[in-house]
Amino acid sequence: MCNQEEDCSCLFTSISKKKERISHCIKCQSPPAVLIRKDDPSLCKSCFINQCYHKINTIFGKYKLNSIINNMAIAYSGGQNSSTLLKLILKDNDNNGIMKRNPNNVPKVFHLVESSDSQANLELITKIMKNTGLEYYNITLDEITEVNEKWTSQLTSSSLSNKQRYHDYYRLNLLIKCTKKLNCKYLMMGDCSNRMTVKYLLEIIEGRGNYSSLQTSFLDERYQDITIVRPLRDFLAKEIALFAHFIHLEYVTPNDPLTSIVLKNPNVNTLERLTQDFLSGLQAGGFPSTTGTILRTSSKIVLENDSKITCRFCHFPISNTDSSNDPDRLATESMIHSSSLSNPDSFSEKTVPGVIEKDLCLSCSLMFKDLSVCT
Amino acid sequence: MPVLCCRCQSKGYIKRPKTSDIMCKECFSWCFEEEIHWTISHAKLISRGDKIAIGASGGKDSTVLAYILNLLNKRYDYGAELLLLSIDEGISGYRDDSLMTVQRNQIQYSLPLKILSYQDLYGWSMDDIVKHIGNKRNCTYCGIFRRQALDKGALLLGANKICTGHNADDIAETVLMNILRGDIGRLKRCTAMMTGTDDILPRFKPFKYAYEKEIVMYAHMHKLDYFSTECKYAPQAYRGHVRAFIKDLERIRPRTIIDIIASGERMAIRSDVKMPQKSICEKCKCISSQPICQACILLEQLNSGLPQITIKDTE
Repeated sequence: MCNQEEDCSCLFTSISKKKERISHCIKCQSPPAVLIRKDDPSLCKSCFINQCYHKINTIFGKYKLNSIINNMAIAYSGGQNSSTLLKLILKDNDNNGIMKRNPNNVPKVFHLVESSDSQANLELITKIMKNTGLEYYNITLDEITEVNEKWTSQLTSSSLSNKQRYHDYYRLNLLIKCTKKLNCKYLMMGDCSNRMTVKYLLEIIEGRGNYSSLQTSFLDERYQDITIVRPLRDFLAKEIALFAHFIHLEYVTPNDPLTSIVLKNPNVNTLERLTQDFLSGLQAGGFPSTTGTILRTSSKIVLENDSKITCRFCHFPISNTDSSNDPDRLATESMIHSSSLSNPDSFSEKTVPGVIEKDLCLSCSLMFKDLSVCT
Repeated sequence: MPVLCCRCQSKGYIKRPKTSDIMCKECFSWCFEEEIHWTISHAKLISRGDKIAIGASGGKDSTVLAYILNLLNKRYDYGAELLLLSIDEGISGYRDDSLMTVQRNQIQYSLPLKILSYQDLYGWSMDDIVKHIGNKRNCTYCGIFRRQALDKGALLLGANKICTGHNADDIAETVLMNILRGDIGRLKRCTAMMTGTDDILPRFKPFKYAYEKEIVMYAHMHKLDYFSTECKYAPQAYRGHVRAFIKDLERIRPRTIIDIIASGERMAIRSDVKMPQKSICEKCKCISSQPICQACILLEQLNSGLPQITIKDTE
């Protein structure tokens, strides 16, 4: 009887809480239009837009981005995230925008032209960049490097995952080169918290867990002379989508060949897509704080035995081999031992990839090895 | 054309989940045993003269663990004395059947067996606890009680080490769960091969780098007798999500499980983050991070008839 009453009162309390939440906007009492998360208050359209502007202003003030924005290069892909980032920075609706406070601080916008970009998308991207009033550039691959990417016809999940990871890092390296070409010290990217969470989990899954907190920090200083800034770090993908919808933002949908392959073949999946589904399933399925908790956890994890050698491709520090004496850290060695047990004759051949490991970390070595097998 | 074993060129029988190599039965069995031995020797888990209590639940992990430890102890002469230690939670229809399996293992492997029950130690069985508090959060009671019961049982047996059958899949799940829930205190020590090394009773996990699939294959290969029913009180929704995720990852990239463990091993916590401190419980003198340990708190709540007080309220 007492237990049943307890259960009844719990249910009653939760029902009443739900009703209170939906009834009105928490700021201006008008009917709400936005329900971001279960835990967050409901907001109407204009209050939500103002909150987004307020949040980006807070971020700029907290990290003192206003004083360095004239050295900033904004990477613009034409997608929803980078379009939202541009809009939040400019905010030409009123005279209180970030740009208008300091007329001398003018960042640069550039778009990295890829072979998969269509002409119509390129024209729209150029038009949007021109309308910002900022200095804008269209940089093609030929200006930076002469690498031709070819997607092989082999459709297995592991090869597609390796290609996707390779393409992500390769593109990041290209963006760094673009920033150097424009003589800027900072690279601003439009990664939201959902995307950063997925990348963080992917790094853990691939064995770079101790260093992946570098990637989720606000200021990413892996590249010595270029710092990567991610102002949308505290924005959920849902917030960005709603903001873009309310503001009627223009953006393009980039043509990603890997995504096309995965969509056309139901049997094929990639690690990244699997991680995205897992995290969004948790977020929607009763654990709304998943993304925030992961980012908070990653900010508490630091580098240990900081080595000065960095991987040439992903630019994370390469782990010290001294730690192999620690009895708690034998995972990598046990995997090598398993392979040697299985292949006693050809194990000497597998030592040859150790030459690659002089410049690359273990995860990148494995990735390149798998890619070379596929090609 | 049949695929040949990569070691002895005889007819291939299985594809190893861990390394994707084709192997025959004998080679797979030998490789699996050698890997456990490599782990034990490199991590210095067993010293001569050790008295090791194996946490035996009747499931596949502990059954294979007892079998392999017995085998390697003879083959490589560790000089350790092995004992079986079982905890009877008092779950009808589940634990009594699995304990019968452990008793059969005792006869098959000729190892001494000690069974402790929650009823004897705490005066409450899990069936009683579930009647009292309902299905919510009963796993918290069971987990806390079992951990302390293992310590007490090992002390009764005179053992100086405790061995558990956590495999690589379990540890990878724990790493991901601690990251997803932001549990920093546990994240640092959930990948330790031997925990509690400064305590009286350290625990170690020889199966830390063994895949769950390989354990099942090994058990079937040697026709080991194990119990495979799940606990009826344990929905464990959150761990189920992570487990399904890890199985999907393993299908795409088999070495993912080891890579997750490698990531977890190398994580270090910022020094300004507050960590729990170890101390001694005032009531039962066991290890605890609070003045009174969790088991005593839960037991006092059960005895006083106030199970609705949550742990958070008490803290």
